[in-house]
Amino acid sequence: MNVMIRTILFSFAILLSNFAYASPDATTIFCQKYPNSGLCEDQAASCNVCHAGPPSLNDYGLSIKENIGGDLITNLPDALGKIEAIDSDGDGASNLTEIEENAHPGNADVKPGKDITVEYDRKMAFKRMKANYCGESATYQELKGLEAAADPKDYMHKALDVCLASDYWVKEALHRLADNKIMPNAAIGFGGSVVIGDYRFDYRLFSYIMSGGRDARELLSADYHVDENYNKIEGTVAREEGLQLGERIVIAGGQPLEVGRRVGMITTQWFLSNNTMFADLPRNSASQAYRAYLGLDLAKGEGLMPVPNEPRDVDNIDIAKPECAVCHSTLDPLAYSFASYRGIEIGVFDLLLNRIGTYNEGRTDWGGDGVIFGQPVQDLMEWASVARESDAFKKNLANMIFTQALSRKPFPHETAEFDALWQGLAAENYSVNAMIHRFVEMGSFGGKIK
Amino acid sequence: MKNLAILLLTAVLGSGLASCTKQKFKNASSSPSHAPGSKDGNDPAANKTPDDPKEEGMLVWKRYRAFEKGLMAGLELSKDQLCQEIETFNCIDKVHLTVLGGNDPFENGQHERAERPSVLTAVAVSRVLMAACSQRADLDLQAGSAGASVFKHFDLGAAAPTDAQIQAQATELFQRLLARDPSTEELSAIVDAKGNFASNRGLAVGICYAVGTHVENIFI
Repeated sequence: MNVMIRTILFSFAILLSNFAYASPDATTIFCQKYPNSGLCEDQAASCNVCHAGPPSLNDYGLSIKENIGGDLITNLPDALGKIEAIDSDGDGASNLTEIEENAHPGNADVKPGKDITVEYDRKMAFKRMKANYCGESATYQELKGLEAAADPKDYMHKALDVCLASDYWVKEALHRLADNKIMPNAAIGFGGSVVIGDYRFDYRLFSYIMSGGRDARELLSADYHVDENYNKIEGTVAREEGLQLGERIVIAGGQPLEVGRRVGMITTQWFLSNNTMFADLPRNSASQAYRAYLGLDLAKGEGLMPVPNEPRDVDNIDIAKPECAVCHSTLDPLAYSFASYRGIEIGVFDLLLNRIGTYNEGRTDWGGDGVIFGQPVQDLMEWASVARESDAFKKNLANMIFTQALSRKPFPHETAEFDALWQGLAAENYSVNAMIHRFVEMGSFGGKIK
Repeated sequence: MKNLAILLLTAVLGSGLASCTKQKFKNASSSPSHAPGSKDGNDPAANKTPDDPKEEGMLVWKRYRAFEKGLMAGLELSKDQLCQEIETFNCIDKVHLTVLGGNDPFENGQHERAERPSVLTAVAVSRVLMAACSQRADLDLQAGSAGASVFKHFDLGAAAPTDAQIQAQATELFQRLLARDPSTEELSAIVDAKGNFASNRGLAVGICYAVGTHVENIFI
């Protein structure tokens, strides 16, 4: 347990140090100058446009530094203009070309891709589809069948339907996709030596929602759980093991949160226990929800949206300093809504009544002060509603599916396809299966560079 | 001696098969990345992403499960028969999981998989292939030519096979492991290598290994 607490504190210290030198104002100015750049798609450009990793500047950032001639914020617009014709990262494309074509002016590995043409290869797409969604190699007979099929596209999509209903996809591949969202740890999960939650519920809920053509927004709205046979469980779920405080410690289990306070993956007992732990203000819960389900990693300078008069430093940890406030002015308001849910609380009644992860409106004074994407929210229900209806949520879903299949982010020449992928979600009632059917027809999935 | 012969065959086939594989490995491992806690490697250039599609192509790594199931189906082996470390630990799920593209979040804290193969991926692929091909050869040798399921085009316990038998066996393995027919050049390279093997079993395993380690069985 101490190791985990130390890890959380260490991670948080790193998070603070990363932002000591980054400036959200600078990214805002960058995006005001280049509003149509793909680098500005998520409200503000990421810190890595200029930084190799804060505080280190990349080649583009160094060019700005050489041309700034005074205060960063005042002089930045002029400095950006001065270096547009320069090729800071030496990859053969000017900074302006890279910015306009969704490449990266400070990273020589990311180049404009307008001159790239791709030819769709049905056989290759079929092989990738089988490997990725069935966990199998395409067989000789299947490829012969594809060649002979009157409608090869239909042949492939029928096979894809089989894959997406397979145990491999639902109970293995989707579980692996959920790993960095659930962040399991065998030592403190069900059956472990110090049990603070049962993440089996989290894996099942994630896979259930992400399969079967279900509405993926339920990741942030589901008020049910899923049993080992992948059937819905309505209502609370009693813990399987009773309280134990001996050689083995068991202080949680089941799903005790009242149905009316549930919002899917971010209100499971495990999520709240593992992320909130002992914190009055659950910053870790908020930042993990932001990262896992909206694709915005505050530690990388993503999704910074400072709220005026924040941070208020409600828990007195001395974060009013500018180098702390740069992050906490977004993070703390983001976290207030989580404060009404118990983390690990070790009062006698908390332990006896299995209260970890349950709702307690009076837990703090600031539970109703939340803000997400600049929008004030009264509670986590409203927080999750704003989150799941956002473009960030859709982009994150598309990014999950894209990177899971191809092990990489979209190349610059694939920007239009990627945009179509997430923008088409609403028309398909947020069905991940439907999105995958569209994805396998795209050049990014089944294309060869000509 | 048996292993030496297999390596020789691989070298002979190299001009047509392994050079391609090697180049793809070279490209794909130019900036390897490992999941946290990887036991098998710790390359420093782990964070280089993304890459120029023209330089590295748009290949997709066939990860552990598809690789495993492809071998199981192609060689008609059960999961336990495929490859076991000291007859106890599964090579795919346990021993080489990380470098074959998987991750273990529960015991090892690996919440993400490696983005790319590492140089050790080639070693793990090689080891699994050698174990699987050898296992299949032993089972078919015990079954005899009438009962063999994969190595059935020449008698594994008899004298040197004919070129036609070797070509038939190679064709079968291409279909089983790469889901396609071999080219004339590929068949010629395999037939030319037959003299490097002291036994029919060694030749069979050598062909299986060479085909199974083809780049097409690792990248799609």
